[in-house]
Amino acid sequence: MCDILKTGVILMIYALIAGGSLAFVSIKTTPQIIENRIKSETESRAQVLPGMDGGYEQKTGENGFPYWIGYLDTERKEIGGFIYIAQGKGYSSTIKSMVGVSKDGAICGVHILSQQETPGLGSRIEEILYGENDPWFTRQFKGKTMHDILKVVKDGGDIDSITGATVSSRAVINSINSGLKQLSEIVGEEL
Amino acid sequence: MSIIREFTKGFYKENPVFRLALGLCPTLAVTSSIENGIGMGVAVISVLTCSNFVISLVRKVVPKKIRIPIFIVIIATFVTIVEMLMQAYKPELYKSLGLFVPLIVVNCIILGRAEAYASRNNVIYSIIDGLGMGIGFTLSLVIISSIREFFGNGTLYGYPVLPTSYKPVLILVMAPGAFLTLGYVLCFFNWLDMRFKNRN
Repeated sequence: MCDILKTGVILMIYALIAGGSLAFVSIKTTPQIIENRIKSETESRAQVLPGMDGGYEQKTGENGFPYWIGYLDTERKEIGGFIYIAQGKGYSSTIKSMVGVSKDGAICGVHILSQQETPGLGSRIEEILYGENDPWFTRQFKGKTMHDILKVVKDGGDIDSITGATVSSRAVINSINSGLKQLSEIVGEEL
Repeated sequence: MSIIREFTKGFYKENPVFRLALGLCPTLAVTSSIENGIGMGVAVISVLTCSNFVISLVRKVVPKKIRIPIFIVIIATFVTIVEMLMQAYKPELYKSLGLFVPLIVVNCIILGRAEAYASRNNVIYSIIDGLGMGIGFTLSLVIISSIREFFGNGTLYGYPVLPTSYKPVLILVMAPGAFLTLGYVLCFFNWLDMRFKNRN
């Protein structure tokens, strides 16, 4: 009995020290982690819809659909385009991407925000080929409008899918498609 | 016991993957590309060295009966701290490695070295052992992942090395390819070992 108590107390001391040091590191790093996340979101926005001098205004549509309006001028009078978040169920994770759409309804850029697809297969939706600056897969969406049929080649469209990862490729395409539809319903008259 | 021998034993003689067959789960999971392999290797080197150091430091005040839970608490704490620090100060690295960091907790090399080495040897030797074993683990990951990336994707560390007319053997970058490659590489090292023994 005494032995159990002794070992229990020793284990508790170790756990206390471990918990204390974790709490300390967590307090020290959390502000930096939040700052990093905000910074990376700002960078992604500038990447998918560049040239917005007036910045971006966050809005929420019906049923909680988040989107941003990008303004060309600092007075925020001239709308330059829109950004929305597309989410789709991939092979092993939810693929979340940010899509920039210009005022005339053409996609300006797609940036994958988060995905945990199979490394070496589905994760290649973010693959940057040697000597290039941006992922080849998402680049294919540039210039497409909602009147274009976004489909992989296998389904009769003109988007090249990732070899061996059609599920992930389709997930990205379908989420962009449905997001585009929702966006046009909300800001329809402006598109 | 020489320091150099303790350091280099992890490279071949006691290589964690090929000779001790430890840590096979992360080996199979992350070796689809060299970049992933090196990333996992570096993360393991840092956690293994830190955990060996601390476990060796406290080895005299850890009761035998509850040593395993205590080792696991220490290892898990280090892994979480490494993850948080990486997320805060090296976000680019975290983006490519983030997936693998929590996997380190269940890497049996770390607990294996804590139990078999750090809990019995002094601090300096334990750090050397952690470094050497970590490098040995990284080397094995690089060997397996280069084979898989070369034949399965036609690239090496992202550089295209095979002509575009080459059709990649996709199965090698998928899960069954991991087992196949690991099996053949293990087989090769066993053969090498037997030849050495016969010669002596």
